[in-house]
Amino acid sequence: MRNIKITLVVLGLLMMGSCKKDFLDVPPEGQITPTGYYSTPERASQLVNAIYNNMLQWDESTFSWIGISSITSDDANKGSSPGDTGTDKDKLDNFTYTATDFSCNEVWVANYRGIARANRALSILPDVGIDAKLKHRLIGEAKFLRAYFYFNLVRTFGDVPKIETVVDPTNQAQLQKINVRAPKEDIYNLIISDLNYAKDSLYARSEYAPADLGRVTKGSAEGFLSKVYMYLKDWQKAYDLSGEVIQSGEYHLAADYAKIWREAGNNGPGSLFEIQAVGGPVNLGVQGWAVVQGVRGQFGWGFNTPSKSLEDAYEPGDPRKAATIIFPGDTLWDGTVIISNPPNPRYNKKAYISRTQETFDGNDWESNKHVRILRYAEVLLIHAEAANELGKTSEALESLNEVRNRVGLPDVTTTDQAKLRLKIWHERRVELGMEGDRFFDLVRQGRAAEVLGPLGFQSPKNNLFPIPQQQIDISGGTLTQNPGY
Amino acid sequence: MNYRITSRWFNRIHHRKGLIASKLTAILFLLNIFTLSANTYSQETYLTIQMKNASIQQVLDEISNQSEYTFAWSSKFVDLSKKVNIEVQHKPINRVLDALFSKEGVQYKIIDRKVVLSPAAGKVMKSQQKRKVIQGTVRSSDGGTLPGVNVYIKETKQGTTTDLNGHYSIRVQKGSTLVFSYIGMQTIEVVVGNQSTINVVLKSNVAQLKDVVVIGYGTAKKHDFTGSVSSIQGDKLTEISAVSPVANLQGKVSGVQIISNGLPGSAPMVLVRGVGSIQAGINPLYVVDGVITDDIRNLNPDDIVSIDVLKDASSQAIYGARGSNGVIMITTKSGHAGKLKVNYSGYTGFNTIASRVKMAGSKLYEEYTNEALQYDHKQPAFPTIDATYNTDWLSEITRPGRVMQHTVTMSGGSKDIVYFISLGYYNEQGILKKNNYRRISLKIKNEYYLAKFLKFGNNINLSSYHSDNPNTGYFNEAYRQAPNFPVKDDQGNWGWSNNINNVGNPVASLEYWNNQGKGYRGLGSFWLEAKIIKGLTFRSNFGLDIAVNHNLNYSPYFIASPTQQNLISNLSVSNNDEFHYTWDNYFTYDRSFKGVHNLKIVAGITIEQFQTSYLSGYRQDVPPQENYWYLNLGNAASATNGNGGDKWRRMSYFSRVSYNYKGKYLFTGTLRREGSSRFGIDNRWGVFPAFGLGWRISEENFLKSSDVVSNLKLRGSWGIVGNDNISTNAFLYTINTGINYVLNQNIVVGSTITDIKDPNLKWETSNSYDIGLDFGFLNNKLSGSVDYYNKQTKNLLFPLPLPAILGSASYITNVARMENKGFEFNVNWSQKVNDNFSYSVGGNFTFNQNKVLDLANGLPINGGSLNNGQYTTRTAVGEPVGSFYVYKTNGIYQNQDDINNSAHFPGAKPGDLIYVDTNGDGILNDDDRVFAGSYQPKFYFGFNFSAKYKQFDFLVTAFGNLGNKVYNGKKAQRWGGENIEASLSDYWTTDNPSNTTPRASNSVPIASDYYIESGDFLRINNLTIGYSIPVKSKAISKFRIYLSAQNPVTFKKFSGFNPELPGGVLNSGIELNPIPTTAKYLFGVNLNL
Repeated sequence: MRNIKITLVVLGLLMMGSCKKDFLDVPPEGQITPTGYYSTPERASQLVNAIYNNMLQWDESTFSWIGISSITSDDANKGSSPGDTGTDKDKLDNFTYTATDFSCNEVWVANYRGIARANRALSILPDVGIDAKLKHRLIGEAKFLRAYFYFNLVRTFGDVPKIETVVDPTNQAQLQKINVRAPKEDIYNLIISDLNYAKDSLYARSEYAPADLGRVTKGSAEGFLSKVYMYLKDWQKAYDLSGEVIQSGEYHLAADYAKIWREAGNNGPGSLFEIQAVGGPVNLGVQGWAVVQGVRGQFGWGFNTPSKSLEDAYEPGDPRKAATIIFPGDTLWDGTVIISNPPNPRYNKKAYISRTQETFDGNDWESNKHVRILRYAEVLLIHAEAANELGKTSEALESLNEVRNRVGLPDVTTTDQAKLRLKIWHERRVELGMEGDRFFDLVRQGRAAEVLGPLGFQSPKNNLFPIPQQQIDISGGTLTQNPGY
Repeated sequence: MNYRITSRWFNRIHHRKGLIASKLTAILFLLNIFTLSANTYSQETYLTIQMKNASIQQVLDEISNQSEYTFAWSSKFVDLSKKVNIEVQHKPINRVLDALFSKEGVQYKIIDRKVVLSPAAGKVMKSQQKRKVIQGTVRSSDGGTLPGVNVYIKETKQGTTTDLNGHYSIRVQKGSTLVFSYIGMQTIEVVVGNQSTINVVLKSNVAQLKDVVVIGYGTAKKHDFTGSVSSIQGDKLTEISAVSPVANLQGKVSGVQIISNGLPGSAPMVLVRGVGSIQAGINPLYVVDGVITDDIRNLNPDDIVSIDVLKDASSQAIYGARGSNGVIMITTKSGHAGKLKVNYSGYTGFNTIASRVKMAGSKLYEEYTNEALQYDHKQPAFPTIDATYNTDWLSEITRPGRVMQHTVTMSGGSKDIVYFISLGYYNEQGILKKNNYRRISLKIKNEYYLAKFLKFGNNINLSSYHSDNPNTGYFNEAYRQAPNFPVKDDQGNWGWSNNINNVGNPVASLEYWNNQGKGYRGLGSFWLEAKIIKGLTFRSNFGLDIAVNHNLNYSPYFIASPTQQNLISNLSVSNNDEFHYTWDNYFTYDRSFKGVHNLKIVAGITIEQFQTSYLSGYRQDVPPQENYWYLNLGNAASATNGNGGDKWRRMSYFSRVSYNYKGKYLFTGTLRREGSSRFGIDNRWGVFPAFGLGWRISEENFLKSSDVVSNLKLRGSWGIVGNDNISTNAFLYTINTGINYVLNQNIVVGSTITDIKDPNLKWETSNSYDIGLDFGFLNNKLSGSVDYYNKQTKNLLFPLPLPAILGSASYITNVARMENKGFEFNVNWSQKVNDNFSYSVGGNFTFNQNKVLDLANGLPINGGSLNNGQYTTRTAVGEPVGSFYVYKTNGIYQNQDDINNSAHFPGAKPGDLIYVDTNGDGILNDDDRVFAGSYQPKFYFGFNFSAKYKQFDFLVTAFGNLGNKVYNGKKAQRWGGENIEASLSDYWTTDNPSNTTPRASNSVPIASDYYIESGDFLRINNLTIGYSIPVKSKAISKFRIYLSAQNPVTFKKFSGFNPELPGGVLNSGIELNPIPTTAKYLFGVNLNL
């Protein structure tokens, strides 16, 4: 018995002593640590896919962005029911928003999240041992997308912090430094430099493998850069770059305007850049994009409704009106009848998804709806605008009328620069109706106060949106506010 | 002194055993089936005692330690301090007692597990000549006779004991006082007059039984313990029949706040001494028979014998890593050597809604809606007021639900094994239709005596549950939906609001919702305990907590209305499994030196691993029949799946030293060094020290003989405990996968690093102290305790807001500090008025103050979203966590001039609430919000009253709180066209210039103090009346029936459904989804064979 007891004591001590310290070294279960992971072409692509993914996010592309880029304009009203403010969409509609309002912060957060993902990719990709051409293309995609996010920010807020690298959050000194708003010229320079890199490294649309359909292309970068130069009023460069897209022969206008925003028009001949989505049976799409704009009482929440002003802007016989606006009682192309008594008189048809004639798996939160960011028609209109500003009237008319002729409208013939400018601006409005450029166009064109003043717009205050108060607070005051807020 | 003990068993088990034994013994005696069980135990127990120069008292203690015997005597006539030598090897108890008392003039009787000592007959008789003979019978309150009761003359200390029939006879002078005493019973004194017969009834003295508390890795005598522990014994627990053992604690323990929504299968929110953390969980740790876990919904409340809540740092520190939110020690029932005992307990009854909010009828609804539309320049939705239908949606989705519970237990044992088996069945239908929960539980707890020094045990709790979980959001739909249309129209089509609002038809919602959960859980342990040398025990305990859960959600194809439809059926299923083990190895050294130095040391090591994984799948086009709800029957092209896992480990060294001198001066020191894999290698280990001091003033000479003070103990403790309850890889940069995109209509994989991590993450630590006084007066008729505590938690894990330019809104790091301090007060009065009537009144009161002391960059955190863009709470320095932070209102605008002359929101109209420009800057914005109270009460309390009259027993318990606020979120969350509460009928119009109820409006209300209401309430949560049927049959020892009402009455100021509003740390106290209080009405039976 004594032996048994001794054995037990020893056993007990052994049990107590046998636990080694490395017992606590538990590798993360089911989670990948970064070291050495991004070493193959597939995995390197994953880094870039994750940047694209930011485009699908609710806060990046949907409610807040729709609020800021569209509801603010004279093309759209808040919509929904009178009492449903959509957090602050009523304030965006009548220009009473303040620095604490939600949408500004979401746009800020979402775009910087995209920038951070791009910076992350750009910090890793140069060291990945893959084919150089592919590597440059991936870097180019990351830079293109970073430029896209910065373009949203600079148009919305003006001067913003310029972040080009992965930042260590524990380094207080660095944090303070990067929190300072960079002049918008610096931001534009970064955008231009990124897009130039993208332009040179991205494949032409026809060079991509079919499986890569949806990635940004050389044409995307050129078209986008021409748009950036248009905002900067660098007409020569805007003219040159839009010209390069036109010359490339990679793009042309789709025959049927009405089909552009349907599933059948996905990645159509005029598509330079659109957010990809798939409606099922396994779906992945832009979160809530269709449902927030769906006919209220029938399909969705009914925000961002086309205005009377937009309805009236279409020339008689312009089919783009019917392709852009849903009216109560309409019978749509797929046979769906719109209810006769929704709370709003118009809804955004470009956000309509057919539950019967398109891929629809019952989930309207992430639908099949591709969101068109840059279309060939806009490149033509940029070209027209730049050419007109440069005095190349006939080229301007050629590009403008190509857009008009597609929808069966007669040629514009005026050669007066000012009149033509207005014609081009008008064409932009109706061609790109409800596509989220109208407000920024009005500011860019310097006539926001004139057009939007009756809606509450104050100049110069409302040319820019307020820096989110939350971000100013977090920065400890390093971030400064825009004038008037 | 030199004595040797060879089989001193299991301190921890022993005390509990002694407790049960006394109670069972009492019950058996009461029902006069003594002959069935007498001597059964003694024949099976063998003792080995070798002690030299030890007092009789020490020898008796030793016998108690080795066996389940308890002793009854009067020190007035048995001298236990006498030193003796004794040496017996493996002898039955009567041989031991013979050896001990043969020369001492003491006789003994063994009655089951009780040994009654009395003076030898000759001695007594000699001094009792020439007096009158008094005789009589001693009974328990249940009418059973009590054998072995000490009966003695107070003045002379001479006495006798009752015989097997409870009968006694004693010679005594007139005018003397006879004292009747019996362990576990209240002592009674009777003055002898002219009578020759004195019959007495003794009442059980519950207070004396609660002498042991379960603490980590052992037990302590309550008198000797320096920490703050609240204990609830089994009989108090089973008085209330509830699905969860924790719910039974509600209102019973000071310092413990339990907030429950009462839905079947839901886990309540449990706060021990306030909110202890922000990010790392606030629920306490549960330890079930030594096995740590975080969910005890699997346990059958009937299987639990006691719950001890460790409230102060000195008692929590032994669980260093996870003690900071309090530790709830659960001890389940065990078997005892002896004949097979079979018990049944069960009840059946129904659930019903305890209180409602009166909603507007169709007429008021339509008038209000029209009026609201008019302000927005809209046509009236109801040109003619039509009150044809008046649907009460809440009634349509609810029902009286059936509730039942049955438990059968069997226990017994021999000298080699004791066993306890319990089979339980619980079935509850919630008040919401389709909400069901049922559980089958099986408990097997055995102890095997492998050798004299070696014992093995297993304790296995198996359970399976099945639940139907309707979306409780349908309560919200019922609250909001317009009353003016039917559930279904005459053609059988679902009614709908025809676009007047966005709310679904709640009955249709419920009809098409299918969410089922089922699962299996095994919680238990296997252990080995060995006596190494005298006083030293080794115990190895391997605890397991294994769970498998399966969840299914099926949405059928349906079109209820144009706005309520699902065009493609879909099925989601998920399985998850958990495997959690703990392995404790520790030594316990327990010795008393010279009878005055009492030392107990526990030291050991424990390791722990938790591993879990899940697998989920989804497909569309699954047919609607329930037997087809399998993924394989759906569209394979729509399939998606998910799979993930988690794993962490802990390892700790722990020790505790308890010392007391003569039971007067008490010291406890605890040290735990704990490592957790949840932190990086440099921050992995934490050291958690604690100590406690106590002084039992009542043991001092100046109080020892006091008739007034029976117990008085001053105690104080200090300690540091930790909390590591955060996600496993919070310190480590990992790649986030599944950040996918679409190319060529195919989903392509995306991955990147999205989260910012703090590699220097370390323990949350709470530094706290506690000062307490335990008291008992008048033979413990009046007993209680008072505590002051102060707990400062630092390095709180907190999502520190980051500049969004870094790409992540926040990261988890140790930045916040918080404080909880307060008073606790417990008091209980028990009195036996006469033979037929006794009662007990008790109460507990807690004052707690929670305050955030520091947030790293001082930035407050907003919370309490109303899901309509409005937030309601703010966590900021100097305020309680989750305080309401809203606009202040001051009446109602009566005209446009008032609006124009004050700061107002755009679009303000006469009839709107006036929001106060509190900072006077002329504009209304977030800076004008004010703190307006918190969901955390300043004061909470519980009361209980119980009484017994003859065969009847009666119990009422109540609890409540004062000083907290609740937010009537459901009322403040309106999108328009929804129903209103009937109380809004007085809404403002130009003809009715109300200053309290705003105009009709479809706008989202601003978050303001208009919706803040007092959270004060008092709830009677149990009202039970029972009757013990006298049964002559020897086969039945107890047969009690009872009627019980739970939550029958709530006194509240809140105008909503339920002032108990559990939620997240930052979001509690908001009635957004109005779940009514459930009241239960039950009929139950307790039957012991």
